[in-house]
Amino acid sequence: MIPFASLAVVVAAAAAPLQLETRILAERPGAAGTAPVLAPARRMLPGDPLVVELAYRNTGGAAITGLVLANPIPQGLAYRGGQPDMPVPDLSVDGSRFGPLAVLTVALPGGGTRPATAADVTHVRWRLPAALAAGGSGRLAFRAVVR
Amino acid sequence: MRDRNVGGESKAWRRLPTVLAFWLAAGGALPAAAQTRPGTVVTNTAAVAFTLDGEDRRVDSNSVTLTVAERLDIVLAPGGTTPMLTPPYIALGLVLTNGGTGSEAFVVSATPTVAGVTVTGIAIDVDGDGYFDPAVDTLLAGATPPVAPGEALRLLVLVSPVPDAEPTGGAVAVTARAATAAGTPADAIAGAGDDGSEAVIGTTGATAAITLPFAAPTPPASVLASAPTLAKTQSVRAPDGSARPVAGAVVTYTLVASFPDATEGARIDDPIPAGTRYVPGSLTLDDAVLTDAVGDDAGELAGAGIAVTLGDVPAAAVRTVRFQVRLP
Repeated sequence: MIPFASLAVVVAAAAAPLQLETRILAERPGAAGTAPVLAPARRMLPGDPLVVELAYRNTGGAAITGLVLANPIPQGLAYRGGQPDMPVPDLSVDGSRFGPLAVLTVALPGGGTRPATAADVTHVRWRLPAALAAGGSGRLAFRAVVR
Repeated sequence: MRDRNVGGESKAWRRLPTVLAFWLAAGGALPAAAQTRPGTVVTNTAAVAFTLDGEDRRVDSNSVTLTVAERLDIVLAPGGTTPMLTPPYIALGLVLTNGGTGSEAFVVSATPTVAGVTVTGIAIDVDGDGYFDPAVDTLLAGATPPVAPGEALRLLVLVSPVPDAEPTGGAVAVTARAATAAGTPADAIAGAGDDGSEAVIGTTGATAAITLPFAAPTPPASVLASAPTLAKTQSVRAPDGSARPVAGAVVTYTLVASFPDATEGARIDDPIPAGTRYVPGSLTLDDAVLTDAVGDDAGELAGAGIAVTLGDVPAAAVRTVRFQVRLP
């Protein structure tokens, strides 16, 4: 379940004024002498590092405000961290409370809590404060690893 | 059979033990048994909420799906002992570990590196005792049974000396590989992994080799019993009459040499322990005092130790040498 604060109207992605596309990327060696490039992952093995990317675009005619993008960490992947040069997302270990990893805790089976680790993260979320103008777009991403 | 109860399974994997969670967060490699099962489907779907024309709306992204592949890896380790080669056969132990992420059978072969021995079979050491018990341990007829990821299989390589061959020490070269595929790391075979997943050869090449040594048999007991032996004991007397090894105490060493057979040119040497001082004139042979000087009798203080020349001794001879040192 994607945790949004309010009950929202879910619109078919194709007809919506905001398009959202996600990809799972992996590093591929670049041509000789160049840096590695990110390309859609073709294979996943435990321990492989990946990048989950979200790309959004305002395809309508009016500005869009209050953008909140959320990505539940899929079964089989573990959150690793933010992507360089991109905003770091807020994290959650229960789907309802979001914040930096340092403030999150996990309940212990015998009672009490322990600090959360990256492997405990269940959801990531970005709040975009600025309005997205018509035709505007953006890209967000986070690093993950195959469990 | 893959567990399709996605809801229950997703709750279970989120309760990773703290140790595993820390490893993952620190970027460390996971133990094989905790790695995602091959065939597991990973699906990522994102969503965005926004406000347009005063209305709260939400849009889902596409879903991108990938299936986790199986890694093939293997580790071989010796069983820990070096048995002596004795008829009718000996068992050389080794441990085969499935270092991959899926269930896998392994093909094992063994070849002696010396002549005079043959490999008569490879067995699973079911009771793990390092010995081959035909009633309990099972001989392999081909590949091993499937081994779970991260699990180890104890094996025994059975080696027999060839009749009439001179028994020598040597070794057996063992190689093992994953039954599904082995060879160049990162090579992959679509559909060959568990649950129809892709099988990918890991960094070990899904192949391992190890050499298991065995020792030549020692001479029979009758041969050993006729070798000379030397036994050394000590006693301590402190200035106050006690046996405490304090400064000024005198240590008396007693060396007893036994010769079961007649022996020529026998000689006893013993260094003066570092930090102690030889007590002059304390060297005796069978309680007769020997001089410390060189050349005038059987005993001498030579260099950093005492030396007593016994010469030719008859069978069943016993000679006792004593000397003393003082603790500083």
